[in-house]
Amino acid sequence: MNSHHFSIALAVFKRTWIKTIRRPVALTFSLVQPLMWMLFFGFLFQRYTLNDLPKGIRYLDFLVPGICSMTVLFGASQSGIEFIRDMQNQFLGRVLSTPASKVMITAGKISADISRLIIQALLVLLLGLALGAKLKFSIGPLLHMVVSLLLFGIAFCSLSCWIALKARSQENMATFVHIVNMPLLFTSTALVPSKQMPEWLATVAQYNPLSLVVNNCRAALLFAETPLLKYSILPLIIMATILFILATVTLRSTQLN
Amino acid sequence: MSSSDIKNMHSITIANLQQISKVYPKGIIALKEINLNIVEQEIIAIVGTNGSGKSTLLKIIAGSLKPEQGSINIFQLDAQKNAEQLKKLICYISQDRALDPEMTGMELLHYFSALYGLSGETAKQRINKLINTFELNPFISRRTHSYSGGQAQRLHIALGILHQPKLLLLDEPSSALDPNGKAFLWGFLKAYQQQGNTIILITHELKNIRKHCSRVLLLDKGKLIKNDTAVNIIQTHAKPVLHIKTTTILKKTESLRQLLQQTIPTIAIQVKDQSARLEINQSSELNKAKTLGLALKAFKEHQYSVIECRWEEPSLENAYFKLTGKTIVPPVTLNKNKNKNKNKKGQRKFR
Repeated sequence: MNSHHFSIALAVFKRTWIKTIRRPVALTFSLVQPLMWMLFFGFLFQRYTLNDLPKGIRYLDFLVPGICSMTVLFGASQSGIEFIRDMQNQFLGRVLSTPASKVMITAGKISADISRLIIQALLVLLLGLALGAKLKFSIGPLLHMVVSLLLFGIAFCSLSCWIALKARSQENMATFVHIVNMPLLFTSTALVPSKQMPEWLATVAQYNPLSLVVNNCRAALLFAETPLLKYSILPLIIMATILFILATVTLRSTQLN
Repeated sequence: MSSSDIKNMHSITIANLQQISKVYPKGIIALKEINLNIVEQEIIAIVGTNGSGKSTLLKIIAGSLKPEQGSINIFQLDAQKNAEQLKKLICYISQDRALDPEMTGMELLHYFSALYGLSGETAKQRINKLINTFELNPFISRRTHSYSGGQAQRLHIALGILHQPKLLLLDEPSSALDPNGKAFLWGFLKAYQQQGNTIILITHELKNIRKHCSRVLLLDKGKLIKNDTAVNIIQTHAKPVLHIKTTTILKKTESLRQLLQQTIPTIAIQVKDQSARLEINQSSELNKAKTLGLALKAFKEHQYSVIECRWEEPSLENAYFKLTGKTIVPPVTLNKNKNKNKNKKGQRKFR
């Protein structure tokens, strides 16, 4: 790998950001959506009693890490739509006809999306604070939280890109987004603690990757703790690596008529 | 052996296609056993009707489509095994202008220069040169969605040659250009060829093919039916054609045919509605005035009033029709007003 490879990733990174900035409506909506979730759920469940959590933690405090993770999930699942747009106006065909490394193209695109999503997650955090959430900030746990969100984002951006390259239409992509996002959210610990779920749902939530990220964020923001890396980070590394390879291999083998 | 084959024997072959076949889903045969030798510094035109396999052939040479059968060697490399390496040497410029509408021309030039691996100063120089060559300056800082057809086409081609490919493949590059744009494009292609590069293009511009292209490939139903110089194809297959249009529909044409064949011995006649197409098989010593007089006399004797007659010189169009029974360029409507409006619309679009 040399500087030429990085300049490819950088060019794709820049293009993705340029396009994001030039679509202010989409950008605003992706920020407003988590805010609405936080406001509606926050007020709806403000008298909700949380079992087995230290006293003083209110539902809003509990909710903020969940909404941060949800922001990354929802944003990442839309990542592949750009590939579909590029396919539809033949731009992707032009990109694939260059000798540029497909790994670097995928890496550039996903890193631009991830950087946006991390910024959005941090903005959600600030909004939570503005609404009165009581959170703890400690460098180590915070770094652990950001790495968790980053790996989770890479995994779901890659999954979205893979689906987009296979589905090749915005309608199919929208179906994927709905089929994946909502069940993943409602079977996770993002909105409700697992101990207050029915037993079967708690079992599902235990293996839900969103729960893993949410738990990492909660450990950082509510308790300033860093969970064991082999349980909290390693599964995310494996998931991100497999899905990134899948997206890259699919991009490489994409033939456009 | 044609003259082009003899020429090819003494030139450097850059691409060789052997028995290339391509079948699309549902069994649609796009190409059938194509054999082709491409020589350095040629400008080759691919000509054929819609669905004849022109674009498929170009995409297969470009490596963006894989054939079901056959082998391709380009620059002494197996094209299927070395697709990535060949991308540095080949560029396929599609018919659809693949531009990102949300980016400016300048952003796109920088984006693709990075994808082609051009570094700082080289990229800058290359971009500046292309901006000057293609006169992109007045609109290069605008987003491409605001470009006219001609402006978009110029940028589209400029992006394709950023990496200075040795083999340039273009799919109908002049389709959106006005006459000045077309003249500019052919001038550019000629200059690019003279720099040592090879060009293969799909085009319907038969006059420019005759003027600029070293070879013509005629495709029909996925088959390569002719591979020769335009001059040779025209000399061998094209004949002068006399088109006659009458005020009424031509009925009971048998006696008219017989009379025409008696008075103008070497003639092939096709009649449809109010039009007759008389192909004269005596191009060398043809007396046009005399032939026209005889033809008009025959029509008059059959009580037909002629409202229009014109000679069509031997051409590639003519040769293609002779070989396939099809016209390359769709027939132009005879309604003058309609034509006028169409042209105006076209000028607006492509200015």
